[in-house]
Amino acid sequence: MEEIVHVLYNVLNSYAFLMISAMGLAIIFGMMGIINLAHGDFIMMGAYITTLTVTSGVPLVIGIILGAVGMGLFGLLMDRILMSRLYNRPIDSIVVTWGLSAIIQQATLMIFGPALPVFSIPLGTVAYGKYTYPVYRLVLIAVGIALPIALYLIFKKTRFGLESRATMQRPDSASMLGTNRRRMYSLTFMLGSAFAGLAGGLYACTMAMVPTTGQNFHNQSMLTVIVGGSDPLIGTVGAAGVLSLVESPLSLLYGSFIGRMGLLIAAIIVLRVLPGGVSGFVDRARAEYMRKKGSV
Amino acid sequence: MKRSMTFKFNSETIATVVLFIFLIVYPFVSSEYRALNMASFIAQMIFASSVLLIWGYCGIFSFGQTIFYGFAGYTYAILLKNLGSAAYTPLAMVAGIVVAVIVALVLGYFMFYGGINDMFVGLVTMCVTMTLNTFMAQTANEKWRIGSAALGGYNGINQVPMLTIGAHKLSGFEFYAFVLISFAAIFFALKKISTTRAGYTMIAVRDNRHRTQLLGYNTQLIQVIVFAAGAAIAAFAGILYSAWGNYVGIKMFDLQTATIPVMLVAAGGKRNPAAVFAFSLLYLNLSQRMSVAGNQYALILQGLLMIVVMLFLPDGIFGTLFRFLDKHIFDKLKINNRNRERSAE
Repeated sequence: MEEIVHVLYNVLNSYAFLMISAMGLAIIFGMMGIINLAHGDFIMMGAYITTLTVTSGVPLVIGIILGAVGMGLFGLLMDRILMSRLYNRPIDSIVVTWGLSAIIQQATLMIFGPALPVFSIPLGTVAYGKYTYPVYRLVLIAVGIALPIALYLIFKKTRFGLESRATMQRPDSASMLGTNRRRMYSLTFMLGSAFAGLAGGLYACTMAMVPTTGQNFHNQSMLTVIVGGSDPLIGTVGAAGVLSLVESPLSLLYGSFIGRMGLLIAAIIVLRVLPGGVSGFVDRARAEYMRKKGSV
Repeated sequence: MKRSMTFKFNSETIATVVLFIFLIVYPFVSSEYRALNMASFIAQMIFASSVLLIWGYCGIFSFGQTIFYGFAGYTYAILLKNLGSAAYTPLAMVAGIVVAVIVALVLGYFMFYGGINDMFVGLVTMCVTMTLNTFMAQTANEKWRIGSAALGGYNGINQVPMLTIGAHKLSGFEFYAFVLISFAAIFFALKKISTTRAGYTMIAVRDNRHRTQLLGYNTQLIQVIVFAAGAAIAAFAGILYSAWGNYVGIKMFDLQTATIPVMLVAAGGKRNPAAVFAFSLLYLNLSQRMSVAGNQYALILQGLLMIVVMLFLPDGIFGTLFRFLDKHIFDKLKINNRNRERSAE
């Protein structure tokens, strides 16, 4: 029994990591079709904000919120200066955000030096059988489950969510019905950046605070979004689920490097078998179902 | 229908001539050390031409040419370590290229036949690069070896032999000549390709993939083949690098290494080979001076370059300059309009 719990913990841990780190990227990708290659560095900046505030005495929760809000504002600034010129130009946005990533990493190194002092992971551990689990990680798992639920509620119940979905599905029609498309894109980029900051803040205490720490998130979140496809909710949940089911058993058995390679290979195979990712698959399945239901 | 290459008297032709005069004269006016240094720059330009081929001509945006660069370099090193003698370098070179092409064919199959296109190719190749980087970084343990060559992790493999023909190891100047001749061959092949049927097909795929497919072309196969050709060029560059430095390391799988050729092509001008290479020479020189001086701004310069070029100069810095010069000066010259006047009579 305790082995099952151990494996389950690892799968959920991996799932939460993928979910939280990929969410911001997925929202931006779902809305505007562009990939923010500086996403990992946005996460790093959020982690830096949180670390700097918490080591100065601010409580952790406030520090995380500051990280999220700070990155949201930074995202707004980036949108105004850079991203607003790049809507509908996916390849160009890759090159530009890559340049941005290089600048952010180097500037962080020049301003803050090679490493920041970290704060330790709070809340202690809990034991079950012969394994101990950090409570903080369980909190992160809870966040990873709560996040898609929160996003679902936002999408379904709020005006902003309605306009977001409309702009994602039919930008022209939504625009004709009164939604300001540019404002939607700016807000989405801001929200995506805020989610990146949140991810950084949440994982700040588990990582080394070096300028390149964004790389830890970069690969996994990129792959999750690619496998997920264009729907930020179904896609990310589905992709994070599938990929974590591949990665964590491999990590447990053979080590984290093999786990990451397995993740990449799984992603490539899924892409080969399901073009359009998980979202595409769900769309097609739903269309099939509708078709069959309609013909009865 | 075959067209001959008409040489127009425009900025690109001038730039090509100046470039080659410079490169041919250079070894005669400088030391062997500096010639070797320049040879490494030319090898980088060859690396950039692999991106130029697949992106500029065929529209495949790959962030992962360094996969093949690294695979070929490591294959070269490992094979030579196992065979034990430097006389096998030509064989190792061929082997390195073959390995890279096989990897490209497999990866290309998964990507292009799976419908992965446009920016996703860039993302998937980037992820493959990063994963390879991560994998190679943890091969420091002695158990990671192929035959008698330990992979070495961060230390890499040392004492990789320089190219040798028979018993004669290439000297600095000879190596330079070899690299330059290869570069010239690749450059003129790239120019010639744009007038052949194969070239037209590639450009058609670049400009409108669906239309080309509807016209009956197997666009996926074309993309896989072009991707493999680009991989062969990148592999060649990787082998040149390892022979030049006598070293292979995981830096060959680095994202930095992957970005540089993309940046050179984007900032030079992806429709214009001469622009790319002129820009590359300038940039590589400047970048080397900056890192020698301990200047921390090199990466910031690189980033800013990519941002500015993408936002304001989509044809690249030199590409835009060439177009400007062409429009205002060269296209108006009588030499270029000669054919037009004749046909109007």
